[in-house]
Parts: sequence; structure tokens; C-alpha cells
Amino acid sequence: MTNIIEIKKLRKVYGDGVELVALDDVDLTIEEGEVLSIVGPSGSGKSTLLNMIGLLDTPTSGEIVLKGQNITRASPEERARLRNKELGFIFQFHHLLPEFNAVENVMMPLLIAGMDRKEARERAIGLLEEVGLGERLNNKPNQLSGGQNQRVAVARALAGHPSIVIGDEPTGNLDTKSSDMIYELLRKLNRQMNQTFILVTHDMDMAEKTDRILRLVDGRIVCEMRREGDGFVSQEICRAD
Amino acid sequence: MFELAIAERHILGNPKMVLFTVLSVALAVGVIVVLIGLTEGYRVNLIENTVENSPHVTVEPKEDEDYIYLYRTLSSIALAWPEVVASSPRLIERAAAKYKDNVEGVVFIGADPVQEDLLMGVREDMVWGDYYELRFKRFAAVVGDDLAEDLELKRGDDFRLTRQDKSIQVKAVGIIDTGTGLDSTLIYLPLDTAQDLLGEGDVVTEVGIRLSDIDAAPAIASDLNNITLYRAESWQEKSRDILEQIDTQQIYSRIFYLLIFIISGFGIANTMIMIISRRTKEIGILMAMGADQISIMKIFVLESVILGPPSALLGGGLAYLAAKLIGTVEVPAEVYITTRMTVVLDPGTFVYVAVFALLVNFLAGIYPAYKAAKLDPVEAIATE
Repeated sequence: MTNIIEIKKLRKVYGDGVELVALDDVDLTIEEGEVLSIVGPSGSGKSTLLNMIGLLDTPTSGEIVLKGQNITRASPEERARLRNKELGFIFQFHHLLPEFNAVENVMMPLLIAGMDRKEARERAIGLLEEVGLGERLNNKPNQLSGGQNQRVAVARALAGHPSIVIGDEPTGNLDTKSSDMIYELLRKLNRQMNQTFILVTHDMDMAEKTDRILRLVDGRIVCEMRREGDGFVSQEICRAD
Repeated sequence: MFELAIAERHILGNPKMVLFTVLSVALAVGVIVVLIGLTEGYRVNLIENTVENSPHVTVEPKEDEDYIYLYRTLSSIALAWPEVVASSPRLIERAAAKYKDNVEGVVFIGADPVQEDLLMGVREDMVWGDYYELRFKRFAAVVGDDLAEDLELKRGDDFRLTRQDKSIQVKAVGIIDTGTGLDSTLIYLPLDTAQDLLGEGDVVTEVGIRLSDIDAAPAIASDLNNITLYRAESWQEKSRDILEQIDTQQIYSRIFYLLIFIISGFGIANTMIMIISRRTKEIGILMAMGADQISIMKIFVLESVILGPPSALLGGGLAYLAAKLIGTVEVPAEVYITTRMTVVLDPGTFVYVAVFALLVNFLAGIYPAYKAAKLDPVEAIATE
């Protein structure tokens, strides 16, 4: 398998005066089609790492290589273009645009990419059917349940056929049933389209279903566990905290 | 254009805020259109009034003389110009009018009724009586309507005109309403009678000239100055001060209009900043979806600009209504030159003000939109 993301010596320091090291020389390689989960206590740098991979934030030092292209110092325009083409985001809260209905929300990244309205609409409808919302196409976020909105958000994240889907606590705000449903949906899409999923989560049940678990503490990867075979998790490096 | 779709939904999603923003610009547009219309109306009235109610060229005595003696010759010289329609020698002086116990200061104009009517259109302004009676009756007078009222003078009443040691009795044969402030002092007399009252012999104080082409006045006045030793002055020169004053005033007015627009611009900017601060998280999400800074800027500049046309339209409507309303209000002719204020609504003014309103909306949107585009996506998404 080819590496889709290579992170070398990634470091992020916040604050002027009192410095806060959010990421401390992180090295990480992510393979194409992998479903990766990142766990760790609050403030451990999970979201920071995710924002770096998602091209929303820039590192203090180190490198990020996406599909062989070093994008560490890419311009804001280039980063915006890459977010649109290569990345899909699912947040803890659905963050759908409140004035737009389900189809329009899913169409949005496609319209940003400059796709023709009609084509974008057809693809959005297809995706909503895929996530089981074929009947709720014209409902606005306030007319849908939390789980339904999150499924719309999944459809939106996948609309542009991104190579990487990033989820920051994608089920953190949902009950177990909806949560499982979202995860199954992601897994199904992962198998169908061979997309790479990077999920930050507190939910160990969900983490244990992924291909690899990274544990972050104080900006460092302290533990990495890789799935081997069916349901087996093998421990590779686990430094003592 | 997803930017337009988002801008549109934002506007529809904030109806109250949008309404007040539109109203603030509409009011600015309305006020400015009306003010421009009033100034223009005043200027048009002033010129019309000057052109209608005073001679186009006035010839006055020589430098060292008080009266014009050879006025018949002067009048016939003036008539040689093809543009000259009328040339009326006039004796204008002050006197006191007494009727019963009422005394009023008056300005009398002694002139030949035929020439004076050609010059000033006197007969058009007659309320009753005929100005031409002055051709045949020596001791007759036409009296301004306000003066007649002040003196409690009725048609056919005899009253007394006194100037220094001279006094004559005349009969009111007509009442005139020129529609100007003159009506409270004006008395027309036959030229002979006026000369008797003055007691300086066969003289006049000026020769009034009316032209078929009012723009020829300065040239004819200057020709008359060159040919004769009399002092000729065109209506443009006579009202130059007031016309200049209007021009100067217009400079101040423009600054004032600009300030009104700047104030409403701040109103728009304020609304845009409010909208953006409520939408910070949404802006972050759009950025995560790949909207670049230019797109974010476009969204909010568009939002601001979209509000322009309805504001301009509403403002135009308000201005139109205000103009109609102002036109119905009577104002004292002594203060203004007419009895009604006229608002001249030139389509050009609407276009000019509307374009300016759009520009204000555009400019007011730029800064907030720029701030929105410069938001940090991570921070924007994290805002509550």
C-alpha cells in the first residue's frame, strides 16, 4: 500500500510568552485506505494533529507530505484547494449550514469546487440515499434528528470523493445506536471507495474497530496499536507515560 | 456561484437586521434626493422669477446723474436690437400712501402702460381692474394686493400719495398680485403722474428692457454700455450674488451629503460585522470545505451590495412622496421667492444618488468581509 500522508518531526507550539507545546516532534505515516483512530486525554494534541493533517492549521516546524507533495508551506489558496479536493471533514457537531436543506448542504463542497449545479445535485442525492436519507432530501437541519444531521454531514464530507476523511469526534454527540450506525456507514464507504479515515475519538469501543490506534499524550505518540487479523490488536511501541 | 446562494440565505435569515440596514440607506437616499431637489427647485424658481419679474436688461442713469433725461432716445436705441421685445422707461421712487388713518410706505412705478405691460406682463397679474386705464386717467393707480389690504383700500377708493412736500390724490382702479414680496409696497402710476409727484421734470430712473432671448442679456448690456454713457446691467449680473451664493452653498451641501452617506455606511458595516460574528463558525466550516479567502470575501461583499438596490428604490420612493408633500406646503412669499417650495426631481439625481448608495454599500461591506476572510479556520470552527 502506498503512503498517503507522511508526517516528519511535526511540532506545534502555541502562545507568545508562555509557550505551550501542542505537538512534540510527531512522526507518523498513514497508508491509503487505512482507518486510523487517535485517542488520548483532552489537551493531548489530538485535535491539533488532526487540524494539521486537515490543512486547517500550520506547524511550527516539521513537514507534512500529502500524496508525495510537501504541503507544509502551501499558500492559503493552495490549502483551500486541497481541502476541497482531497479532504472531507466530519465534526463532533454536524455544523451544517442552517439555512440550507440536506441536498444543498451536501452539494456545497461540490459547488465550491466549481461543479455544475445539476451534476452536484445528482451526486448529493445519490450520497444521501447511500446514508439512508433518501426521504429527507429537502429537510433543513432543524427538521432532522442529531443522528440524521450527522449522516448528512458524512454525506457532505464524502461528496467531493476526498482521498482522506477526517473526523473530530464524529459520534461524540450521538447515542450508541446512532454512533454505531455512523461508524458502520464510514466503514462501508471505506471498503467501497478505499478512502482513508482518520478519526479522533474518546470512544474506545469505536477505536477498537479501526485498523490502527494511536494514543497521544502531551503532544507525543506514546502508544501505537495495529490490528492483525480478526479483532486482534497487537502492541508495537508503547512507551511508559 | 455558491457565494451568491449563501449571501442570499444570510440576508433572508436576518430579516430584521436587514430591514434596518435597508431603511438607514433608504433614508439617506431619500433625504439627499429631496435636498438636491429643493436646492434645484430654489435655483429654478429664482431664475424664473428673476427672468419673469424683472427686466432682462436695466439701464440706469449716467455716473454723475440721478435721473435719465433723454429716455425716449435711449429707449429707441435699445429697440434697434432684434432681440429687444420691449423697452420701458420707468420712474421708480418711494412715497407714503395714506387712506383714511392708514399710512404705508410704498414704491411707485411710473411708466407707459403699453411698454410696461410688454416688459413685465402687468395685465396678466391683475386681480381686478385694467392696467390700461392708466393710459387715459391721469390720477389713477394700480395697487399691490397686500398693500391694498394693509391700507384697507377698496376698488374705486381715492387715496393720497405723499413724497416730501408734494402730495397727490389718486383713485385705485386695479389690484395686482405679482406673487412676490413686492405686492405689499407696489403702486403703478401713469408716467406723467409719477413725474409730477417727483417734481424733477420729464425724467425716469431707469429703462427696463425685455428680450426674446434671455441669454443675450449680457451681450446687449455690454453693447449699451459701450454705445451710451448710461449704466446697463443684465439680469445675470443683477442676481449674480445670489446665484454665486447658491453655488457656494452647493459645495457645502455636497460635503453634507457625503457625511450622510458615510454615516449610513457605518450602519451597513455594523450590520455586516454583526452578521459575520454570528456566522464565525459557519465561515470556518466553509473554509474547511475548501472555500478560499476570496470566496469568503465575495459572500459578505455580495451581501452588502445586494442590500443596495432595494435601499435605493425605497429611498427614491420616499423622496418622491416627500417631494409631493413639500409641494403642498405654503410658505410666505416675503421669505422665499415663491409661495410654494418646489422640489425638482431630476431622473439624473435619482441615478446619481442610487449609484452612490450602491458604492456606499460596496465600500461598507469590504472591511467586514476582509475580516471574515482573514479568520483562522481552526479558531472559527471552535467558536461557540
